[in-house]
Amino acid sequence: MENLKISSKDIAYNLVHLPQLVFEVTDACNLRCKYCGYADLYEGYDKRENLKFPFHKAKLLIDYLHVLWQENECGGVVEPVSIGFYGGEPLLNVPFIEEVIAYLEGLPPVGKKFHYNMTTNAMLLDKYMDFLVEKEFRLLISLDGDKEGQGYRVDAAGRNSFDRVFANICLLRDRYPEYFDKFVMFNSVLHNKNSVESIFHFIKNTFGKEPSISPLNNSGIRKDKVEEFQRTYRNYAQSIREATNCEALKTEMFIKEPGTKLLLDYIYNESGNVYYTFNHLLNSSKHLSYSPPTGTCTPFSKKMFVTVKGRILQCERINHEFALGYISDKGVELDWDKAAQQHNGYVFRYERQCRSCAHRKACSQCVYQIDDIQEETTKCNSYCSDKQAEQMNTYCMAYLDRHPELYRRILKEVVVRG
Amino acid sequence: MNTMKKYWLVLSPDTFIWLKGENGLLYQSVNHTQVPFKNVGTIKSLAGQLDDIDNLYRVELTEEMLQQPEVNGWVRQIVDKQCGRLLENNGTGNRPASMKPVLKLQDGVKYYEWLHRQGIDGCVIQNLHEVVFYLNGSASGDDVLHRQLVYPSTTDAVADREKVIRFVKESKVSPFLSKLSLAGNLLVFPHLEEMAEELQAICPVKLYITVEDALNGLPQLKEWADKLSVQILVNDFPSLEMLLDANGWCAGLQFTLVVTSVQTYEAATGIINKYGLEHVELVPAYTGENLPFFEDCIYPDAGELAGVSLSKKDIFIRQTLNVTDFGKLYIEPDGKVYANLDNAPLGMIDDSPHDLVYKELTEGHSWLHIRDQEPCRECVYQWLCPSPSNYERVIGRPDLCKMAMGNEA
Ligand code: SF4
Ligand code: SF4
Ligand code: SF4
Repeated sequence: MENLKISSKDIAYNLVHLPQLVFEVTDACNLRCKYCGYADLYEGYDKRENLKFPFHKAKLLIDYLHVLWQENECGGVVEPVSIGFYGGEPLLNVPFIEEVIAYLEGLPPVGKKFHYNMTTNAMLLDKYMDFLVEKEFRLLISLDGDKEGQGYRVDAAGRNSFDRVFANICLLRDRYPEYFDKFVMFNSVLHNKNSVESIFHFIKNTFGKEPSISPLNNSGIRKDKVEEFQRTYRNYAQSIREATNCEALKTEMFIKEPGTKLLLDYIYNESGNVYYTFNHLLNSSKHLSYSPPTGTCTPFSKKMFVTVKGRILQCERINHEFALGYISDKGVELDWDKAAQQHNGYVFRYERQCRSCAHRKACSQCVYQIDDIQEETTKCNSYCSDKQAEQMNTYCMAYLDRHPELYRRILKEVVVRG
Repeated sequence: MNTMKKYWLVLSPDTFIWLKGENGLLYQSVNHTQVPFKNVGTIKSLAGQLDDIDNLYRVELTEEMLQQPEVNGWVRQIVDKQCGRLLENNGTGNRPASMKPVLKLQDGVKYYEWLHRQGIDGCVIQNLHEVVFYLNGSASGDDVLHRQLVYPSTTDAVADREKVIRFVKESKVSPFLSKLSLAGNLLVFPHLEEMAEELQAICPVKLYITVEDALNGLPQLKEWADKLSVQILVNDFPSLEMLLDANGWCAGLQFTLVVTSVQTYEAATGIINKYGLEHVELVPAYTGENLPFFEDCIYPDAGELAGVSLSKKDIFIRQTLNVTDFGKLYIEPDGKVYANLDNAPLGMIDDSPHDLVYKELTEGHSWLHIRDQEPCRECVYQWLCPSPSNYERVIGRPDLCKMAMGNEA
């Protein structure tokens, strides 16, 4: 596996082709969601300090990347770069967002096309929607369903945010229907005050959109909060089984339904019938870009996330201890060699398990999500023996037998992007 | 009560089924066995159901059907050759199922077109794998061979070295670019070595030179062969013998021997044996006068088709792209760029490689030229046969195959 280790060259390549740059615009929020990553259920995140990302640091980072992009520009090639604004609640620091966008758009072209995205709780949508629409922001609105479902998204005084959020979303839809249709999506957190069915139907019937629904993040729970977490947690598959008309809901949800999603993964990874690109199909493996052991992305191959304090991470979903560099007042401190070594160090901790794991060719386990990664005895709990894999195959084929049209539909209708 | 036994016939996910009118063929892509059959009567109905993707590659059979000799023979062959399984249907609902081998290429040309409409095209260039630069022509060049394999033409034009370098630099954004070929009378191209070394720093370079030209500069050639990969093109066998006799060394050299008849084939193998030549490829070529020899070379006969050993992926590739042309651009000394020298030029060397690749993928006729024309479209061997080649284009007749329209099925 030695040859699968990454080097500073891979880091450089990823930075030159960086697909996403995400700023943690502020750690402040105008809501106090009970299950938020900043809330006290979780360990390992910075305490909320109501900080705002200083523009001069963003400028240092953009300049750093711009030099790399300029040096590697190639005629006719225009790569998309998605600029993400993440929070806290990003709309609490709109001046920063405006400055970043104005700065990016004022730079000499280097073969990159920027587009913008944001996840928001929609509390301030009424105030900023004109700007968001003008810049064609891809907007992901957090809404946990109807008023009852939204019950954990409360303001500082503990009041349910539903009425205000709902009114704002309706205003956006009515004022900018085309934009709403094209650029707005929803995500919802599943917990004990809602259900997959209630969320899915409320958002679909009200806004004509299918939400992404995720259960509570179960990694990094504080040991003294485990019981509270378990009370709040609701299992996704079980919630679907409890629906009034479970089969109809499954059909409607298509690949958002976990059984169909498993089948999709099985078809993509095991059937040998799915290829992403011409190169993947031709698969002279020497050609294929580096494919790491474990399902962990190599730093910056998917995105770069910068925290409000200037720490540079490879994504927002991982603990800040995995920072690869930072932005000081003088510039970007990012040692490519060190970053590569740090990444190799973590990923290769599981080498022995990976060697015999049935998931090794199509693993989706990010090692940074393994709770005890820093312990000597750390193990990957997603390890899959050949026997388990066989059972999974049997399960998938039996599922397909009950829904035979899914094979054709998955081949024809589904697109999976990393 | 009907007590007649029922069965499931289920094909393996590695087995292809191809139905063309009255001809049918099953091909098992792991053990490479075939079951050719007449697609008529009950078999036609069963095969049709197997072919329907929604049936999960299974079909129900009754005892009565199995008693029909043709059906029985067919099923027995399927089972014996491991193209599928026959299971008793005991009504417990435990039906077998398999996924028919159907390719899903997620991000093909439609995706590129979609990206293009959004003003972003980054990944299209990744399909550029090789660029062949003809730097000049040669007195020993051949305009007919030039259209069939990497071989210099007789042109007087000379390539612009700066433009070649610029083009390569712009191409290197493709992480899949793995070969640069320089062809022509390289001994007279100014500062060839310097340029080749500059290019070699970007991507492996290979030099192509005719044996006649090579004879004019053996010391120079030896120097090149120490640093770069060199392919000697041989259409004149006496010249090859002169080179091999004059030369104590040929390590590092590779050879293309052009074969146009049974006699030249024998001469070529004679030389290979006499000198113990390694790294040699024999390439059949059409001269305008050797049609019968050539037909034998390019169109497979029944024996060859029965012996094909392609994997599932090999077949998917043939169903999608042209194995010979895909990923390659050819640039003539006058700057015209081609995806295949038998088609119209895509543009000029001054255009960006990205734009040329996009144009070929979306409008071109080479990289995605597959065997989907008459008569192959109606032939069960459609995807077992190699991608259509330039030879077929040079002859200008796609209908020479003896297997066409099931003549031999
Ligand atoms: S969760 Fe892990 S694999 Fe996914 S983007 Fe983040 S670091 Fe990469
Ligand atoms: S799931 Fe398997 S391959 Fe993936 S990290 Fe765990 S042990 Fe390794
Ligand atoms: S007709 Fe075409 S596909 Fe059929 S055997 Fe001949 S060349 Fe191959």
